[in-house]
Parts: sequence; C-alpha cells; structure tokens
Amino acid sequence: MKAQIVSSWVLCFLFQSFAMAEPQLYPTGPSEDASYIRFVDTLDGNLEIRAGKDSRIELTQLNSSTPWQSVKANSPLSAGLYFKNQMQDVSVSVKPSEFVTVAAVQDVKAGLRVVEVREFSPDFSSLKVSFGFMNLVSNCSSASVRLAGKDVVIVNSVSYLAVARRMVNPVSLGVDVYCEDKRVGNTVNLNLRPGERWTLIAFPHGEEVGLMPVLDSFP
Amino acid sequence: MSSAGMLAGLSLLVIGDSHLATPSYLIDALPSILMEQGAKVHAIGVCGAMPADWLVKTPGSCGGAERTGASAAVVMTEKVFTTPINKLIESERPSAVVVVSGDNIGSYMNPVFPKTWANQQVTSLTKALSAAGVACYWVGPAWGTEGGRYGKTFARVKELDAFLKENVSPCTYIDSTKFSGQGEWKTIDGQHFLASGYRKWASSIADEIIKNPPRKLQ
Repeated sequence: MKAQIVSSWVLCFLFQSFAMAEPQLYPTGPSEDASYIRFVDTLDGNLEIRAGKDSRIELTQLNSSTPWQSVKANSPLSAGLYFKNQMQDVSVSVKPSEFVTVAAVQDVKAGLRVVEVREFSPDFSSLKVSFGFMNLVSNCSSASVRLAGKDVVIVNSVSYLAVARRMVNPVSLGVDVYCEDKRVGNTVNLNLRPGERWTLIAFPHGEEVGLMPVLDSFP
Repeated sequence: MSSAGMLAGLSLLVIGDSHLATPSYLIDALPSILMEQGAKVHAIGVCGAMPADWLVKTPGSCGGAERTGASAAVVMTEKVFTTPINKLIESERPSAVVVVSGDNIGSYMNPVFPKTWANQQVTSLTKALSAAGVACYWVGPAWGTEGGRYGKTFARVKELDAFLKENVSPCTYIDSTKFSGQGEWKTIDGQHFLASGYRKWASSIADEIIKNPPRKLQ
C-alpha cells in the first residue's frame, strides 16, 4: 500500500514536471494572410473619406494617400468619399494577401469617379525596393515605365485599372511613363532606399496625364 | 569554437518566443555559452509572442521565462507580457539585440504561408531596432522534425528561412538550417528540441555572433 502511495506521488510529480516543461499548444501565425486597403486622392482639391459615425480622414495635394490599413478579409467595408459638393459611396471587400487601392479620379462629365485597383504583392524584400506602377487613365490601354532618356523598360503593358510591380535595386533614378508609345507627363525622379515600397500612379489630369509617386506606408 | 573571451565587453539582449520561454530550452544554453565568451546577457522569452508584439506591452499566450546573467532562468507563471523593445533598449543600452523568432510566424497549420502578414510582423520590429540605432541579429528557425503537433514541415521551414533571409535587414540573419541536417536534432513535438539539441543550436548561434560582431546601425 505504502509503495503504491509513493508510486502515485512519484507519478503525479513526474506528470507535473512534464506538464511544466511542455509548452502549451499555440497557433504559429494567423489562419489567413493579412489584407490591406488605402485611399488615394488624384483630384485638384481635398478629398474627405468618412467611414462609420466618427472616422474621417482628409487627403490633400500634399498628403494624397492614406497609409495601408490592415482590414478584416472578405468583409464588406463601406465609406463615403466627399469632394467639393459631391459624394460617392463605396463598398469594398478585400481578400487575404490582397492590397486594394480606392482612388478618387477626375471624371470629365461627373467630376468625381471612384475606382478600385487590386493587387497581390508577389514578394517582399528589405534589401531591394518594390516598385509598382498603377494606371488610372482610361484612354491609356497599355502603359509602360522606362528609365528616363533610355530604352530600358521597368514595367510594361499595364492596362487601365491594373498595377505591375517588380523588385529593383535601391538607387536614385528618373523614370518616364508611356501610354502606348507616347511619353506622358514629366520625368519622375525617385530616391529609392532598401526595403521601400513605391507606387507610381498615372491619373487623368485635365486633358493630360498626371504622375504621382507614392511611398507606401504602413501604420 | 574559438578561444574564450571573444564577446568580452558586449552586452546582449536576447528576446524571443517559446524557445526562450522554458528552462532547459534555449534560455539556458544560449546565455550560458554567450557568457562563456565574455558577454553580459539578459534573455526574455514570451511564449506565443509575435515580432510586432515587442513594440507595445502585449500578453503572451503560454507563459514565459527570463534570465539575467548567470542566475537560473525564472519561469513567469502569472500573466506574462512583452516589454516594449524601445523601453528595454533605453534601460539596458545593449551592444546588440538578438531576436529568436521563426517558428512563431511559420503558420505551420496554414497550407499557405501568410507572407504579407509575416512581412509586417518582421519589418515593424526591424524598423524599431533600426530607429533605435542598435545592432541586431535575427535567429531563424531550425529544421525540427516533421509530423509533430504543430504541423511543422521542412518545406515550410525552407520557405520561412528564405523569407526571413530577405526581410530582416538591417539585422544580421542567422540561418539555423545550416547548423544541422533535416530532422537531425530530435524534438519533443516537432518544434522544441531536447536539451542536447538546444546546446548545439546555442553553440552555433554564438559562433555566428562571434564571426559577425555587432555593427551599430546608421
């Protein structure tokens, strides 16, 4: 009997020691990847974005893009975009791993038009620079970006409401944008640093094409 | 290993996940080996802590441990929280921070590695370290063994290793997959090693730090 009691205590002690040594089960990361949304203002004037009762952000010509915001995947997100005396509602759902840009662009007839551009980032690097080009110009069916003054293509054949992205070396460079084979806008000079993620946005600006380099940021 | 004293004069802050959160795990072996080389070491493990959890005080999910100098690791049994890295750096002024974080972002149960989420986790911590101007090392996952309770596979370790190698700069990446063959170090659950495996891992990590002395970040 005494031997049985001692054995039981030994077993309890051993079990407790093992339980203390063994880490608890815990998930090593989320069940699905992160999703992101941002808003961009390409208009001549301030754009206010309102979501819910009290959340509002104002974009200006100096601060024309929100940071990327992490959102719940596959869940409809609503917002109202206000520009001068116009307003447009948007409802967007973002998939896991997706980056969605909601952009306010000029519309010749309506004044304000809201478009969405979706992308899945192919890769990340803290050693190189992620360079993306986004085409918001409806009469530019195929856009490309080349090194300024050179016949070196960085991204090619970017259709309307599409984005192309690639890794480039962290250097200072000038780039030109072409719609089909016609150069549009002025040379954009970029000082690229390791780990950065850029999106160069082409947008309608009056009769011409405006170019806006955005350094993507996360909160 | 090289002769003793190779890390003399350095103070190292080691932070990380469950591999540092239980005595007889890395929290025993790694500080001991680093101290044999002359370093002063403070190690903190918070089980379940993701890299970004070290930016603000965040609860762990399964305990933790802390070891200061030659004292034995103290197991934290009450609710465990991370200490924000900026606070740790400010109070301790370490020569370098060593981050042990790989398995905890592997998402082993998910058929697809959540690269976007993992990138944000890693870069938010590396940016904080860079902003603080402190040298840093990032220790990636070792192979482990397949078929364990956490779903760890060699294919995912390879993918995670490649991802971390590309994304932890300006921290110096310590590739743990170079230290052993696949499945060579036995585990209790696919992920956590026997004491002998932790000693080998710790020794290899210390060797890498000796070969790559801390460089203050610009």
